[in-house]
Amino acid sequence: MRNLVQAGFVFTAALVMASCSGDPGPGDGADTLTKDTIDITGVKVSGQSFMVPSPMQIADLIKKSGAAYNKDILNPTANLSKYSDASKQALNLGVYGADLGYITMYDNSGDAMEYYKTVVQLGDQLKITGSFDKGLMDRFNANIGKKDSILTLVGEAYRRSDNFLRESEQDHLAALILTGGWIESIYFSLNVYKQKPDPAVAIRIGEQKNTVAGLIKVLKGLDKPENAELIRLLEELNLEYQKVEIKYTFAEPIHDDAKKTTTINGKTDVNITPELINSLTEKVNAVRNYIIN
Amino acid sequence: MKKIFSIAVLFLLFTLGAHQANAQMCDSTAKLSAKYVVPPFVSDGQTYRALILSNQNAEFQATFFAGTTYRISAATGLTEGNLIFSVYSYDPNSGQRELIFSNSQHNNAPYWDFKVNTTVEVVIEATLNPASGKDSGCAVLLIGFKQ
Repeated sequence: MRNLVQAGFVFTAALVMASCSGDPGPGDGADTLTKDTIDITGVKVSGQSFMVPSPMQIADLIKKSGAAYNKDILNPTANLSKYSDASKQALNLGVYGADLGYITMYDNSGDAMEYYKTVVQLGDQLKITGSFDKGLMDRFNANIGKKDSILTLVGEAYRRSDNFLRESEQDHLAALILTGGWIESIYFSLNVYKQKPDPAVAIRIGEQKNTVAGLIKVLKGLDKPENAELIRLLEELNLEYQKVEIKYTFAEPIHDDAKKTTTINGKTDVNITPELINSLTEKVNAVRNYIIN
Repeated sequence: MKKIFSIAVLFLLFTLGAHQANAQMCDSTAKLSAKYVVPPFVSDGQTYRALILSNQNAEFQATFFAGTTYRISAATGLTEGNLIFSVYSYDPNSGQRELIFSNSQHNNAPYWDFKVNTTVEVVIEATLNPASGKDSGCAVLLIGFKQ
């Protein structure tokens, strides 16, 4: 009887720990408790979590580059009816979220409402509750035209949906949303470079070298057969991305306690050629076409 | 047999209760962290959390882009200052890490901003504050970027 009680407690403790540490996917689980370093929620790579650059942040960087607003580079909302399975819906929730971030950065209220409605519809189809709901829609309507407020609302809605999917053990959908969002934002960056070959934009594209490799590891770890084609296309993209050369040199940071701020210095050299950007464009277009069609 | 069945049911109820309690605990901590990711900061769209024991670290990788100011907000439980977080630069070529910041050297601040002058890969480690006396806790980290 004593053994049974002990076994029960061990089982309970394992379940409780798994519930809070998030994804119980391959490579995680029971051994998590014995490791010095444990996983946390977020996209996981080799026992670590991995932050995918926020599409809104990339949109902000694009706007700062001086590129003009171009609706033609967005995924048309009319494509929504094409997405009938959960994987495509999640990927395109990421894509449309990136589109919405891009539109918001450029203060285009009309397009913002159109894309916001699309995002809400996809969230509804994926049964993501507490994120893209009527309350948020009301707040969105009330803040239309106020860029900062809308960006905050969108960022918060995506954070809540990420949280909801991980709590309901749907990490694979959370990972696909992040993948779709990242592909769309790198697609924007490549288009901006095509319009205006700015070295600063080229560097920003190159700096995301490690993101695609991380996404591949994540998607492979999820072990979902339906992701096979997506992974194949991402691997082709990664082969090109690995040709980008990055060299980082550390320098001491500067702390300002009064402002609770640390300034990160150092030096990062990124070597990316126009030819390499062309091949990256071709590969990114292939992944995006797979996602949006 | 009846006894074993009763114990199994009890364990199941306890498990479900504990599962719910931990989810609520993590949610409450997330709300505590979220109060610092407010305008002009925008959430990166992700929530990073883990139940950690006192001898464990939770860690994740991120890219901080040049020209951006980031805010990291971190907490465990419902009291500020119980989570230690450290940010290291990480060189993927050599695997070398260098300490950039630890809130343990800044009064266990619950949030901190990072003005990034050069793009850098970072590793963020989170661990329970030994002084808190806690054996375990739900660690939550949120990241925002300044508009």
